[in-house]
Amino acid sequence: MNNLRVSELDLALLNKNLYQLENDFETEELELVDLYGDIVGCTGDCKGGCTGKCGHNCGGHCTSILAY
Amino acid sequence: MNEIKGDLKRKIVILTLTENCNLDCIYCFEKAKTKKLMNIDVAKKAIAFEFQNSEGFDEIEIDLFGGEPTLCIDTIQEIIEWTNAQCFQKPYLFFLDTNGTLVHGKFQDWLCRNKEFVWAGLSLDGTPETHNKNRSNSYNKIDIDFFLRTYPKQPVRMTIYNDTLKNLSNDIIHLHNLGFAEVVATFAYGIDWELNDLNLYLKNELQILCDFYLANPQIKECSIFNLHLPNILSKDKKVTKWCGTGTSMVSYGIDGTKYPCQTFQQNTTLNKKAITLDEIDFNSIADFSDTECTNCMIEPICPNCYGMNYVKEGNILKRDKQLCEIVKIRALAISYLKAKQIQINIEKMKPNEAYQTIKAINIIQNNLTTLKEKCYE
Repeated sequence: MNNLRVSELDLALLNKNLYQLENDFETEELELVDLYGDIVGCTGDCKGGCTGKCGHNCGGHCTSILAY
Repeated sequence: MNEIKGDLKRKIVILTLTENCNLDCIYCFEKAKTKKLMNIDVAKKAIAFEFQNSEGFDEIEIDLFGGEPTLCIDTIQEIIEWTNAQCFQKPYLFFLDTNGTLVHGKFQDWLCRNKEFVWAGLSLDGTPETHNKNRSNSYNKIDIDFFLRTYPKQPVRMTIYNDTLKNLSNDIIHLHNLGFAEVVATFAYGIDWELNDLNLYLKNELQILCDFYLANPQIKECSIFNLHLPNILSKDKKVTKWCGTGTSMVSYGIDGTKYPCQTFQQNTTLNKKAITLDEIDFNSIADFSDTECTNCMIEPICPNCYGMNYVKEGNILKRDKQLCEIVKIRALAISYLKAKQIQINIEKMKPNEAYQTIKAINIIQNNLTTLKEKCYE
């Protein structure tokens, strides 16, 4: 059982990708926050009207996920 | 009726049809069951009011809630048929939040005929063993195939309880194997979560689920894995509202009193005063931070339920700290899963998404793998 630890080798491979991205793209582009990233805990799909679509704990309301 | 689109702004109207239930689920947050029912005229008045006062919303979802709403099948049918006859101009859809035990025979036929207007969502806690332990031996009373067949896109709702934590991965995999499109699995609020149990069992169970999802990439991960890790990079931002309570959501009690959502109603708040909609202006709260969480690195991705905060802590902004370890272990599991997935899928990811996710994985793996402290500064 790994207990959810990412191995040092895997982290090194990931960080190699990170450096490659930093070389290939402008910082501004890499730090661009997607719309949903601005809304804490929310995918943003419902534009502020909670539908439970994100599945987060909101007091038993999370199953009301309708047409999508 | 027009088709409801998932990308439109939706108003959620919850009608508490009854405070009664035919089950006695071990974790139910509605502690005070009564035999009270909502009068049909109260329901009609509420629906008409919400349609007439829905500026700013594109569509309306009316949740028929309980207790167990299917104890009031006649009321459900009358409400929906009455609403359909009113020719309201906004798109709408009814949602039935049910334990499924009373959805059989003629009521199934009626639901099928009215599938355009009402969807039903089933609560099912996993394997028969776990479900029966949590939910009053009700597994065999549910026609699971009816829900799968009639609402193929509707996720199943599962509640995770401390006593069945050891079987979590089996329970979730069981629900995937039954064929549900998605599993919304939430940890029970208001119960005692032992730190040792979480470290012993939850981590192991989530590791098993990570391996399962990596081996079965066609299966959508359950909601335990849906925290958006890159949000931890935006720590300097104020904490905004987590859900629609009191703004895009309103809950009607059985007597027609309006609440921000169902968790503020008396059957949930018990010995604390119920809080009505006009007693809290959620729009006026600029920052939803809990001052005790200010230095916690995962606060930006930590789920929050203001109603349950009030019930447990007497303060809508003060989180139940017994849930902290759960969120940290979830974040750790997500970082592990994402680390594996990125190596396979990096070409398919947007540069900013890959960059921010890798940065977040590094932070979480470097800080949360020991899980010794209550808060991380």
